[in-house]
Amino acid sequence: MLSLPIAIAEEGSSSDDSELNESRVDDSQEIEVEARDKTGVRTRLKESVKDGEVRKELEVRDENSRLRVKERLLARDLPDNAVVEARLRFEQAKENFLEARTRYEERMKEFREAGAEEKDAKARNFLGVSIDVFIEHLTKIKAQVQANENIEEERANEIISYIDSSIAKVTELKAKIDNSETKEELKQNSRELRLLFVEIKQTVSRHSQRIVNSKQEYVLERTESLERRLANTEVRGEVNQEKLRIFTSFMIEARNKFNEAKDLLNSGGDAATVKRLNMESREALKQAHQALKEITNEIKEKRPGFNINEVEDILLRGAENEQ
Amino acid sequence: MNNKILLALLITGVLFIAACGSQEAVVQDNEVSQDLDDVDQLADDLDVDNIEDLEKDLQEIENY
Repeated sequence: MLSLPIAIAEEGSSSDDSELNESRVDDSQEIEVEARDKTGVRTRLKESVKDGEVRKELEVRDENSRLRVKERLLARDLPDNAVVEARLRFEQAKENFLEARTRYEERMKEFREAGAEEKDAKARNFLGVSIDVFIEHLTKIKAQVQANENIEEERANEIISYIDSSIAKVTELKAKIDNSETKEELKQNSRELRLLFVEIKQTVSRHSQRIVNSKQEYVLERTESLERRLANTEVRGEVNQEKLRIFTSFMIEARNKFNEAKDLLNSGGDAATVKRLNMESREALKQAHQALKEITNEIKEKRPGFNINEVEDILLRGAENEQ
Repeated sequence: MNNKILLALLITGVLFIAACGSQEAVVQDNEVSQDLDDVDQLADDLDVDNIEDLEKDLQEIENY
């Protein structure tokens, strides 16, 4: 057992939990008890630093905290390869979308500049690329749902099924556009595509916001975990209380806006309002992180020893002096 | 001598605990900030505004 570093690591690894504060109370006692082991402590400290154990323990602790939040938010368990493949499909769809968007602008410009004899052909080209843009956007959303383990299975299936059926309708329209021969047919198909877009826009937007909301929840929980860590540092009198208050107030705002957005999503509320609430929650989170940076920078100014490498040096020097 | 050693170890321990806590917060904050940027990017990628002009442009085709 690496007495001191491990004791600290264990303490930190449970800092997300309420029982943490109890274990922290006894830090000094624990160190004192360990220090009585005169022959063992110094050697173990030295070894732990040499082996990079301290840094390793910090990494493990950080990883544990990340995993605990992930686990807490897990709504369905997907095979790793399914997640990876869905993410790749998302990246591909994103690339395809950007490429289609470029063609979309070009085709629209060509249509506007075309003379009377070319107008039908240019309109057909534009409608074709409009459909590509539409489908790639839907594919991005579908891939994100397929990679998302924080959305319940039933809801994920419902979203995917809705997107599949929308893509099928749009694809059917594409065939009609390709086969349309007259200007009137083209105009009619354009109208059908527009109405379909208007019909599904609200639902698709709500699905997008659900994905964003679920990703945001992870960041929010991770930041709340940091907030608890800071509260523990506060016990040691290290934290600027005014800045901590600012940080906490932004965190409360971020959580409230997030919850509002989530409730609205679950009650089938307006997608634009959900989007606004999600954005406001993210903005509050950014402000909280800014406050957090200022807090940690201030602590570091007060205590140069906050650099972990310097602490390791102290430990090493202490151990060597004792030999 | 033993008391001095004990005191040095105690100070080192306290410094170490403080360093671990803050260092961890900084490391995690950087990581969480990156996650937050990723969510921003995702929100942009999935935003319906990316295709919002379809409605207006399709209407233009309908009316030519």
